[in-house]
Amino acid sequence: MSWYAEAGPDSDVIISSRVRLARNLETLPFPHRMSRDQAREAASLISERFFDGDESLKKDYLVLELDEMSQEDQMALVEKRLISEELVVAKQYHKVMIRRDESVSIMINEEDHIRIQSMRPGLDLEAAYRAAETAAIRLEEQLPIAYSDTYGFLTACPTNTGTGMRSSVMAHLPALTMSGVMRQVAESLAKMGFVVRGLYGEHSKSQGNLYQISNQLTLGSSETELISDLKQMLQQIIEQERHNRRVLHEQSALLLENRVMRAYGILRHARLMPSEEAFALLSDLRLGIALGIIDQVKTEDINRMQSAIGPASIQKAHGRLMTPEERDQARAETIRSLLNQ
Amino acid sequence: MLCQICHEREATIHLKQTRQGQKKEYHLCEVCASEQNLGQQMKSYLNQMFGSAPLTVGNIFNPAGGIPEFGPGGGQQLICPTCGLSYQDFRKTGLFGCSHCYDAFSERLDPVFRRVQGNIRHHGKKRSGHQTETAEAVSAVADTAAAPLGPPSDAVRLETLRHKLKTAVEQEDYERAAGLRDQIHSLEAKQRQEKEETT
Repeated sequence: MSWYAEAGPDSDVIISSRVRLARNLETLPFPHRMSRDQAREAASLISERFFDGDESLKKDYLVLELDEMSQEDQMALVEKRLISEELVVAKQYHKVMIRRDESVSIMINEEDHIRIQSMRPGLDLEAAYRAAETAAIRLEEQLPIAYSDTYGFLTACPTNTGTGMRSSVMAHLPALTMSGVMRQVAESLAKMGFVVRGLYGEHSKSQGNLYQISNQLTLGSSETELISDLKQMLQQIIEQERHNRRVLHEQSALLLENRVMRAYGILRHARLMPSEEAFALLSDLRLGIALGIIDQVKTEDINRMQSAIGPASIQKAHGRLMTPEERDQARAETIRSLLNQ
Repeated sequence: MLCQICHEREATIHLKQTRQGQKKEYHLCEVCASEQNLGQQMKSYLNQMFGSAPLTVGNIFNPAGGIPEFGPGGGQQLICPTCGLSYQDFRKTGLFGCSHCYDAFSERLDPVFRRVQGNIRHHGKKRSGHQTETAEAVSAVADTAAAPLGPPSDAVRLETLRHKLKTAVEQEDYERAAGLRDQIHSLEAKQRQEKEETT
């Protein structure tokens, strides 16, 4: 079962938690300076050593050579947030090992030789960290990983040096967005070393009131401290979002209920569903579930829908390239069938 | 002769430079020369004359070889022996070429990390499955890294103090720990104050 099919702690506001660890081989240049031969060497060395002598580990993971996949199949993995867009762009012996429950993916030859990523539902950064760390320990024991006592884990970019860790959450903040304070929130978080971004990472704009909030610093604090800093800050965001939701519901109950039930109606019956509209309606539905306005749908169902309706995921499910209109039709069908189950 | 810039200290550095046909003379004290990045300029000037780099003129001005970090021409000579990346290219792309660049550029990295990360030393998990240096060695690294600069920066001192505190607690030397904790608190307060003043 995939991680997103479960509900986690505080899942009314925090959809998922993610921890990423960067590691590199000390024996090769960083990926942006590797020759094709070196990239091939890194790719085979890392996956061979990771599984070396552990048959059960081998069964837990799916190994995908991106060079052998179509662009759409690669983008479908990006939409499911199993790999980064940077890995797709990398082009040189880029590869990923994905745990079959989709909770951990190990990207090879991205900006760093190794990027381990772990996801958990809800606010559960500790569990995400533990899973990523387990994979990291295995790699550190099996490979010549670049490390110095002074700077910690050595990475291609100085913004990752030290722990090599980026911890982040996907937060659903419709009430803070509607009250127009998101910009202000993002600015004050930036002063504390946190970054707020849209759904698909850097430079992307928020879709469906979804925001990625992450810890930017990697040097000078321990992994535990960094995670607890982020968590403490998030507790405040969660409280503020919940408070704003309550106020919104108390002040305009009818308007809000109307909006939620309309979203439900449209999603259940529409025949064409553009991606942007889908995200907006799913956000309304998500808010309705959290406020107890609607109980026919669960948060996990929304998560499942969200991971299935990106353009590449739709095309992958249908096994062919489609025009935007065909995709809108297929998207509407996917959502209808999931909601009318 | 007094320094041309501060008009306070005795000028001990006398430099003639010809640029685009214009002759210029500089008479500066060590402090201002160092600030003006002349150390680096003179170094490359001498390198041109002698065709090698036997003289570390930069070190005369500033014992750490600390050319103002982001000044023009800074870092031209630093090249990673393992992958061939120059410090200048690192500054341009923002990416190291290989893990050995960290060693090659180490004298320039503290300001880089202070700016990017607000911190200059790793404090997290150590690498698994490898023999790492002892805690004393880590502390020694922090101490020697700071030594050539004269008094260590507050950040480095804090780092060292925190490490000593951890050791003291581990050894159950609570009296020493209390003393160290007070030192840390006063340093932190000083840093906060400085930060408030600058913002």
